Amino acid sequence: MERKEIFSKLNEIFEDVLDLDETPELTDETSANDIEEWDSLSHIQLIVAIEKAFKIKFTSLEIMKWANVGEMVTSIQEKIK
Amino acid sequence: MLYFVRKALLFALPLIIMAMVFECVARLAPNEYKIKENLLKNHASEAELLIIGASHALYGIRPDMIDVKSYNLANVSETYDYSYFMLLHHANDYKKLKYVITTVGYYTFPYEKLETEAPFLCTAYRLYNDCYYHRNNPLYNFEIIYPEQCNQRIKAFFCGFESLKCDSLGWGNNYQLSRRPQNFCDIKNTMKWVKKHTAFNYENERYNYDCLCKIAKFCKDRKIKFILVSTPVWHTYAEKCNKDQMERMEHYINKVCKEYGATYRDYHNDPRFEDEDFFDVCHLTDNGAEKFTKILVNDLKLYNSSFASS
Amino acid sequence: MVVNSLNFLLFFIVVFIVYYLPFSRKNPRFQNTWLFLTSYFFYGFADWKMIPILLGATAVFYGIGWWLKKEMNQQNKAAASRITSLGVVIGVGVLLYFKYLNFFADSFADLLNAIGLNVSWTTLNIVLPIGVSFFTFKLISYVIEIHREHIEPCKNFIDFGTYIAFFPTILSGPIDRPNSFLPQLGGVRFFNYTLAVDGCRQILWGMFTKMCIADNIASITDTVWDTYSEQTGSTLLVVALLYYIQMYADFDGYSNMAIGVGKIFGFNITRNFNHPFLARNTAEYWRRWHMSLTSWITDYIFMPLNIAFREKGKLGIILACTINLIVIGLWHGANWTYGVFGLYHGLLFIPLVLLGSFGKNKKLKANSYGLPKLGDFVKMMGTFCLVSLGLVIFRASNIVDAFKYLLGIVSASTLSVPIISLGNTTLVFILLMIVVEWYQREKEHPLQFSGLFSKYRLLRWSVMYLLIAAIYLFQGNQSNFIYFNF
Repeated sequence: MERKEIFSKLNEIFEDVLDLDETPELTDETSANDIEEWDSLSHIQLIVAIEKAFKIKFTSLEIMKWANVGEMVTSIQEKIK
Repeated sequence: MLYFVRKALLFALPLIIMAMVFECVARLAPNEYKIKENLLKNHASEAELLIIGASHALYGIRPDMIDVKSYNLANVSETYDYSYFMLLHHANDYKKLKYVITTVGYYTFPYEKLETEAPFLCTAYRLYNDCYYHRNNPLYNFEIIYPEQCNQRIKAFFCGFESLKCDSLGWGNNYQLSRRPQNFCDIKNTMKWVKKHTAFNYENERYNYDCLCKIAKFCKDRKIKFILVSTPVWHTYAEKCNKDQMERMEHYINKVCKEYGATYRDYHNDPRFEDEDFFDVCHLTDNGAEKFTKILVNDLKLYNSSFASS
Repeated sequence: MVVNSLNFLLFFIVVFIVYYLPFSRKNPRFQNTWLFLTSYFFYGFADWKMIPILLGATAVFYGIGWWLKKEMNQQNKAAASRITSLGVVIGVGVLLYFKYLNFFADSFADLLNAIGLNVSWTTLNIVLPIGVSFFTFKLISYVIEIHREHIEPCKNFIDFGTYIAFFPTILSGPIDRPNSFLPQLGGVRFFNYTLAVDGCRQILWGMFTKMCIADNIASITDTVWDTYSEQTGSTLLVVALLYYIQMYADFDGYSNMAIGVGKIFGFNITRNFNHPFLARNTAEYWRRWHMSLTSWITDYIFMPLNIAFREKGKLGIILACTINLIVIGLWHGANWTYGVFGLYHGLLFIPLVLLGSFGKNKKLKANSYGLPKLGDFVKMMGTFCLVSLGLVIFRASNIVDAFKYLLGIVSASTLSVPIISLGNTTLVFILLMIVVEWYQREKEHPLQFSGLFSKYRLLRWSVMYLLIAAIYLFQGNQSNFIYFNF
């Protein structure tokens, strides 16, 4: 899957799970600090939603390594392969 | 960086000036240490009896009730090393000194060093009695270092001589019956004081005993009668005191009496003292002090014409 | 030595002068080496017998960091995980040994005795190394962050040792993460006037809250706690509320002093408090209170648990929260009260998780008068009371006392007038602190001036002179920082 495709799917998931007013424009550098509604609780909800949407399963270590959305997308890409 | 240092000094300047003003005002205020120093300066040559020690002596023994020329040099919380200093620092002026009385109580020997317990008092001895113990130690040469004490001195500056807590002969005269707190001797309060005065270790006993011996030796060498006295205490307090600590006190007293020919009078359980005589569990009121001094004068025969023989 | 003491002032002046000598600019290693030596001196002054433990633990973890990196470079994921686990086990082991061994042994012995097996256990004379709860956490986070590929192992042992033993924070935190602190040790720190001035002001505010508020309240709370069985319900309630204020003033005071000192040396130390009185629920309280500890536990215990339980939905979150808070409670010490305290807060989270209001709160906005909105204010009061009651359990020396105290509050005398001998000046100071906390809520500390105050030096300096006068004239009896015990 292309990174662009993953990003657009993530935008939808974020908008849905975080109950945002408008579609976020996620970039490689976006992190929890940039979105007010993204906290430790919604982080878990996001992960569950992402795993469901892409039909993948992450390990705990992989999840905890992510520092931003870019790294998240890279992980998703690797899992899909 | 230099800019920071300059700004910091500029900021500190008013503070330093205030500190100097506070220090001056505090030192100018009347206080008991100055009174005692003046007593010694002016009357050491005529003194026949000196009372030294801590608050038991300060409040309990009235020089005006004693026939022979007496002065009370005691101070609150004074330890024997400072009593020794007070006695000694005008020793060359004593021409007629015949008696030295000091008090000894339940917590006298285990008492912590004054530098630990109340360092601001060491400052008082240093500044107003020219005590040589910490001559060059900045911690004991400035009132400003101890805010609470400094505040009290500044208040005393504005109140003048009314704020003084001793009379012209040095006796502590502010423990008046009318000013006694309500719960002065209830059981809870008594137990609190017993607990406070009961030592957990005896580290300081040796030091305090040695200082007492120095006083006793001074008296022996000069053929001055040295008298140790235990002032009356509230009966419940006496009952609840730790027997071990009391025995140790008696042991030290006996040693001093034996080695240096001192006399000991024990009034701590004296039944003649009642409610109105006590300001708190171990201090006497003005009435109590009058009563006690008269008893002491009688027992020790402190009359003008004769020496005491015990 | 305590930060607000003459000893520390002398120590600080010496460290400061040498640290910023012109010589240090040309020798980048000098400043860190000087900090390393002075930090160990500072620690040794508190307890020299524990220096081998601190140094030993630092050396061990330095080695583990490099060993871990080596295995990760060779793609040995299993070995890397094992080494990380080893690091965590050693760190936790050190903490458990010094802090909790006697507690576990005594509790275990009590348990055996209760079921009829008489055992005698001689309590080992284990001395608690001061600051152990803080430096072990720094060491553990170092290893985990390497494993998560967020940092590289520290190249220089002196730098690493300085991070662990950094004297402003070694005794009572804040707990800095290697991610934010180690890079600051990279270059020479030139004297930063703005940062240093800010640091000085922060120290002043810290001294004010600690000495004029916490110490003065302490004499009342201590007395009432010693005689709680004889106090009226209303007194107990008021004292419980006062204890929360005391604890905040004390710990925030110390943290401000530590952070302020760090700023003077050019370091940005992680914040510990974000105006917890303004919390609208207990979840927000934990995001504003002792943030360096709660974020540590969130990152290394809560998140992994949450991730592991993510299939279990809200039940998983509740379970993770409760375990999380019990750990936070027990971190404070070896006593069942701390565990129950944690459990109490865990239970308070349940309604928040179920209602979905556990997450990040909306920013606090003032009403048209500049005051908190009524709804927010009511929530703040409610949270304040809940936290105060939890602190009763925290403060008690055992569960029975805690229970009795709480029962005492809801007795017949609850509606009577409380008997509190709080001085008028202390009351004024408390009200001042609360007002200032609200109006300066966006700032890191209240003395970060804005508006008229940032314009006129006379105003700023007047405020600071008043604070200094208050500290000199109205300081309470010196009591040890509450968090020195942890």
